[in-house]
Amino acid sequence: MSIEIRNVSKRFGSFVALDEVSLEIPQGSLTAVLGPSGSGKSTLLRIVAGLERPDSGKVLLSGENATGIAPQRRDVGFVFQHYAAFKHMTVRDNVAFALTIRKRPKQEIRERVDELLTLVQLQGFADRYPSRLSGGQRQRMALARALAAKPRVLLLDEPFGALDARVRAELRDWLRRLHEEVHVTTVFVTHDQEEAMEVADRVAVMDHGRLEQVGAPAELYDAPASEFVLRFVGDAVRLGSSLVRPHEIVLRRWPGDAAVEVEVERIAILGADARVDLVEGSGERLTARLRREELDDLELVRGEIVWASAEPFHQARLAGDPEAGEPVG
Amino acid sequence: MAKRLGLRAVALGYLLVVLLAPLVMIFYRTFENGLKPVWEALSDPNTVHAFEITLIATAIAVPVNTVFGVLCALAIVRRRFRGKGLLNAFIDLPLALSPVVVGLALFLLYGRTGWFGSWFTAHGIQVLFALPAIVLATIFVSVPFVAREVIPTLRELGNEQEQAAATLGATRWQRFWRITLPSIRWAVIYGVVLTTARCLGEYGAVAVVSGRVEGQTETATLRVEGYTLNFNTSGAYAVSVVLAATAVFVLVLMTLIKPREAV
Repeated sequence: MSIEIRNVSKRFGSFVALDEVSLEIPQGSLTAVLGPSGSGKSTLLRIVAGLERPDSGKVLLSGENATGIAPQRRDVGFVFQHYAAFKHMTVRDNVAFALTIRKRPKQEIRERVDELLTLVQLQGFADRYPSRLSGGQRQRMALARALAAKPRVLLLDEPFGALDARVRAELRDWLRRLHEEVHVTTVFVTHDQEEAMEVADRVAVMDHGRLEQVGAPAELYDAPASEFVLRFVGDAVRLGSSLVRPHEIVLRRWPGDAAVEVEVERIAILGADARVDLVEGSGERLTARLRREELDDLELVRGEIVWASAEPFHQARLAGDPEAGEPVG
Repeated sequence: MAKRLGLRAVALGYLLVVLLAPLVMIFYRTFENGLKPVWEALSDPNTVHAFEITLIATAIAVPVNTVFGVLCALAIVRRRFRGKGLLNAFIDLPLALSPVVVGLALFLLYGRTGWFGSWFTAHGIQVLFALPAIVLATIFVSVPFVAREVIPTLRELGNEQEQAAATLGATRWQRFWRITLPSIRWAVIYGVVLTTARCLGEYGAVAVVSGRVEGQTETATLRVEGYTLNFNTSGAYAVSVVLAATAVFVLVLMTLIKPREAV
């Protein structure tokens, strides 16, 4: 099912959560809505699910206006950040919920739940209560529960936000694979740009209730539409007067055009890369990311003065910038 | 360690003197002269009738206040509306107000010239000095307990589970029966127990509106007073012991069935 959001606005008191947001999500895609907290991304998702009503604008599901339709009639699966597990039910009853209330035959429910529990790797946990599951297991249960009635859209609100880093990485992979298997139109909200870039085929970036840019992960990184996107998707540092990616900074031992004089404050080796913390004469701090070979060639020492510049072809290009060159692969 | 022991001693000592001593005294005095006077008092038709009246009033007041208590709690926690704070405070009115004042208010309202009373009189329904007044007084004084137990539980519960149920296709009604009610069941049960205890023990408001006609509009608590006024102390003790035993039984039952973590 495709989702179309048209000019949706929503306020909470004087706080503008969404300001004329329009976004199309094609059938079968895996889209991330990315933004800092308070950017309106969760509100947008909740409006698609029918858990909030927009003040103005429309939501179309499969081309039909769904704006005033109650959540229980929208045929969406929703996964909450804090799982929203039904605490008084076993894992089996949780997963079966959507089918039980639809009064499906017992045998059918049993088979479907077993199938879903296998899909989320919780076969042995059917008779447990959610309080006896780990966070990652609870979230997998919530996913199985959301998928039980075969929704036309799967919506996930910061689904991995409450989990520790290792489990989060595992579940990301797992969501990606699940999507390849099930192919249900999926939208997930996250504030973690790495998560968005890694999992989604399309990313919509939001800030202050506005949609900043929509595109494939590479597009956002290579051709950010605004300074916000440049800063938010991937790291960005200010060098002199321009914004650059840390790995685009080149350090030399001699001055040059547009090179800025900096002092090496600290060098940290991070495996194949190294991070070099620099201070400009003005006191402004920035970080450069160098490959180990580059660092070794330079023989940098802490406290040394060097010249930093960003090669033109290295620089992240703001879309529409006439000076932007062709990206180098 | 000494400090903790001291705290425990103070708490236990206080409860012992204030709660347990009078209770033990009642039991002791009741059975002091054997079972015969107790049995005589309890098998008296007027006593039996008094217990019946108390049970009828309780059987009506508890379900009514359970349903409305849950509704009020849902409204206060889940809805936004003008006067919500007022409603919240209003629920506690029966706790703040002396039952005698409640009785007097009902007396004025349902008296022959009262707002409601004149209507009932015109339709030939006797409210005051009859069962309806006893029931009304009992309902009034036992309003707060279910709502007071359920409100904090609902707050803690939040509404995510219900929203999840909605996205899974559950209607409002299904969400209430399958998600909300099971989640607040212990609070409701505890509220019901407290309401029952309060109904059984109601005295002040009922005393004003019932008319205290022996064998007709006398409740168990009024019966205790009746016996006392007639210097039939063993009768008063016997009825008291039944009331006290019921309360203790209900509390013990509650402790047994309530899940450990909820205590």
